[in-house]
Amino acid sequence: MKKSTKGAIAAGAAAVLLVGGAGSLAFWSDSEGVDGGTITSGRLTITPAGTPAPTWTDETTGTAIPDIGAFRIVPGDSLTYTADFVVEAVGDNLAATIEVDDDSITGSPTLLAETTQSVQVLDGGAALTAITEAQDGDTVTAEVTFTFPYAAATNASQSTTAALQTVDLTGLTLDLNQSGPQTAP
Amino acid sequence: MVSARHAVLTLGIVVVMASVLVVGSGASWRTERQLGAGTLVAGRLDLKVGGVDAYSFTALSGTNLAPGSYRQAPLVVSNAGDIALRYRLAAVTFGTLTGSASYTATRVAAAAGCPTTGNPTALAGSATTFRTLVPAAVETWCLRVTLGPNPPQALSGAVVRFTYAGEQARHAA
Repeated sequence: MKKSTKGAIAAGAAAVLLVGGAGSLAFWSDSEGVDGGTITSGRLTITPAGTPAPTWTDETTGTAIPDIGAFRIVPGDSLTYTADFVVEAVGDNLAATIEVDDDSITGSPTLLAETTQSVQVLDGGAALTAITEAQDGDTVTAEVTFTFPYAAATNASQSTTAALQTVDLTGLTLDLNQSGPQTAP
Repeated sequence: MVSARHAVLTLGIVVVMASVLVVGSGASWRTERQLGAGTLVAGRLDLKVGGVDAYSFTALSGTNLAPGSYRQAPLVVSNAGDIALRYRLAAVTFGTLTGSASYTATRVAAAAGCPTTGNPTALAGSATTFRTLVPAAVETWCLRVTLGPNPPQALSGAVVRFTYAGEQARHAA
């Protein structure tokens, strides 16, 4: 490389350094705080209302079942468990669904396989597809219906004198799951 | 080569971001409430004849029966299950006496209403029409098998079979 070329490169580098150094000293700056408020999260809970007490109903006759343990289900039966809950649903865009936790239902495999269940939630008698902030503070009614359809029934799901065929609902659990942002109507 | 590496790096970033998004969507709020709704118990359908499932009705057996003679005895039908049932006499077969014998089934209040000879003290009710029995309930039938005018001679081992069928009364058509 020629000496003149090396000299030019060196001069250029020096100029860059000078400019860079000058920039760090010469620009004016300022900053101001902005009060952005406070972000507060919502809540999502359900609590048993306690009153009225949960009930069982025989959908075939429309009559109450005072002791579900003494009732004997047969194919064709449809029984509904009704329980009231107080909802806490706070969140501008909150939407949640209530579902039966299938894993919370245990019992005799044959009878379990031949029965189905579904849940419906009512607020003031109107069915809800989702729980939103509109239900906050409301007492909603969960109706869990157990169905023993003819088509699925076999003689193997009958109780015997030696052993009862049961569906154990002592641990029956309702899940309230946030289903995503509430959509505009 | 360099651009290929960039492509790989870019793809890697996209994949990682997508994974984060998926994980993020699983972190929505969830609460649960246990209900303690009790236990559902299946019913037990159990129809008995003579106290058992397959009753050997020896009281109807007879030997040296003459044409036109009959044998008559009471049979108790019971509901040994824990749900209401309905039942009926679904079938009667005569085996080798087919065409040479007939039967009657008459409901009676108790065994005393069904003497070995003579007409039973009849109650209303047809044996072949469904009748309902609640758990532990029993009904008594007076069954009579009558030989026809020309039964086979020297016949031995003829078996008359009565078949009662039961089904759940609830939701029955």
